[in-house]
Amino acid sequence: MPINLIDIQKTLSTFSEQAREVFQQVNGHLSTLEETLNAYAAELDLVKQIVAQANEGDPRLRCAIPVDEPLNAAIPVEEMPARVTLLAVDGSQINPSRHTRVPFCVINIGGVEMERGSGLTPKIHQETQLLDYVETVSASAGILTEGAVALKRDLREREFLAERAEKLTKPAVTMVDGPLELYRDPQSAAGFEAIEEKFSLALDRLRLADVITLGYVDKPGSDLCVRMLELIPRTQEGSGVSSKTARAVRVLDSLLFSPVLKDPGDRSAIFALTSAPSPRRHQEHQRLHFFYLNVGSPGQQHLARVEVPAWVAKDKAKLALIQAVLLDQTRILGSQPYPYLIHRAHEVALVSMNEHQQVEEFIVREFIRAGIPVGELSPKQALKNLSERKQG
Amino acid sequence: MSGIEIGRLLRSDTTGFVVGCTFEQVYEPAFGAMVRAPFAEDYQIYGLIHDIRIDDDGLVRQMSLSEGLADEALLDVRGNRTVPVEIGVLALGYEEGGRISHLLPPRPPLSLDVIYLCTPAEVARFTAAGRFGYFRHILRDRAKPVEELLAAHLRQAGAAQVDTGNAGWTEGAAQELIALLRDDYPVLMNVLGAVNEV
Repeated sequence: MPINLIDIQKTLSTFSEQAREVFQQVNGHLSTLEETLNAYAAELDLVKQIVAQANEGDPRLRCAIPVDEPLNAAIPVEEMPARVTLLAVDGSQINPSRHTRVPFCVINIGGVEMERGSGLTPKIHQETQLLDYVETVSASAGILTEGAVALKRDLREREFLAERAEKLTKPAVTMVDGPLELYRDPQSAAGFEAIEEKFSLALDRLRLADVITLGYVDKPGSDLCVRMLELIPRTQEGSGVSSKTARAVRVLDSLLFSPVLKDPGDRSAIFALTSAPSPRRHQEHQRLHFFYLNVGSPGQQHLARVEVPAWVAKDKAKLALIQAVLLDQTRILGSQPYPYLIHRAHEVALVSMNEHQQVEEFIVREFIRAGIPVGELSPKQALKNLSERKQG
Repeated sequence: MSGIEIGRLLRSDTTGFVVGCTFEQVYEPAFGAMVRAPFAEDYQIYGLIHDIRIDDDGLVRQMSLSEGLADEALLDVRGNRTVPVEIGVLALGYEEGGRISHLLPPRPPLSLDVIYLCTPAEVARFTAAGRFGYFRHILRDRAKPVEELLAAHLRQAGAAQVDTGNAGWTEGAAQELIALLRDDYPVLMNVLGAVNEV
């Protein structure tokens, strides 16, 4: 059945009015934040101290920390080197489901390697992994959760880059879509430590091979720098440093940096991220840093967040290379500024519904051949398939 | 027999087939060129390229508007992405047991069969067999650019016949076309006009 547009129409004016009020509040708060950003632009030590104090009171505080550049800096892009190797990776998966005839999980990794400036056709890398049955269906936890699969996929992406790092012609930049750090699914907390250990090893391999790595976050929804600035007025008001005061409105970093990063290619100052309370995350050379980058064109600003480990963040030449490379990559796609290579890696990795069904058929045939009992498709899934077929 | 491979068969029916090829292969086949699809040891189908189609998709459309198109990205789109160039082929006849026929083939080629460009000797051999019976297959589908297709074919086949000492073949072909199109004056004039360009 289609959705009832008349029902939506009835609430549309209220919805829009609510949005208008929020926008007004955001704009009001944004002006205060911009004033703070400019007033404290050069007070890096003071701001670091404020964040450190707040972090003591709230070990789970997640906000930006200035490093060594003015808070409101806009650093212009430099020229692209004549030649640079780029490797992007992305992953997709078939999540196991109790509704299919056999629960199975596939992780598909796609990588595209481009020697920019070489005039050579980029290389395509692809690997597909059927997870072990005992890993997919465990006696204790049952079928692997979607969050746990996503974690394994993210780790495999980073390992994929690390395995190829030594062979890449330098300078080389590797990239993934989304944040560089692993997303922790609360339900898969049990295996997280082991995965984080492997993740850390992969990052180290990249560092030792002197291969830059980054996470590219398109249309970022984060407020890490805003949170940092919000700590300052509270201190000045003498109310003590606290991150726990309720916020009336949430302003995004992209709004804050919008008037700062005026020209295409401009990047913000580099910021560190407060550490989560995990011993492994205190490895200083892997500590997460980020900056905002204007990958738009004149008259059409578009900000992205770029995440890098500390050993990259501390090297200005590497940051300049990242800036130039990302601007070059996003320009390939014209009015939709997104790194070409990451998009291509996504295309290579993507598992279609048709392929999903083929893999299932493949496994079912093998089970039947080996005399292993095969379950039934759940009636719920069977009916969904019927509806999909009818729509198709 | 060997020759220049232009791609593999995507789909077919009795009257023709569609070949998928990569961007690297697209520089060989030309509109009006003859191809062959070996089906079995002693059976192959001959055809004429009537259409070369390069489809777009969302990414190609987006990149076409870009001012910062990198050479490597261009090569990637052309060499790595699964957007094949589609070549439409009109079936002209077949060869079975060494005998050439200008009737439609009894069986179409199968998916992923390799398709080759005909060599001049193969073109001369097919077009000299019989009395231009395959022309009716070209003239049947008026939705195709028949005049241009015939002109391109006569240029290629005429040159191949000259190489084998059969200099009168083009004139014979023109006479046959006049006979076939005697009741369709406008088309005949268009065909002769195009043939005069040869």
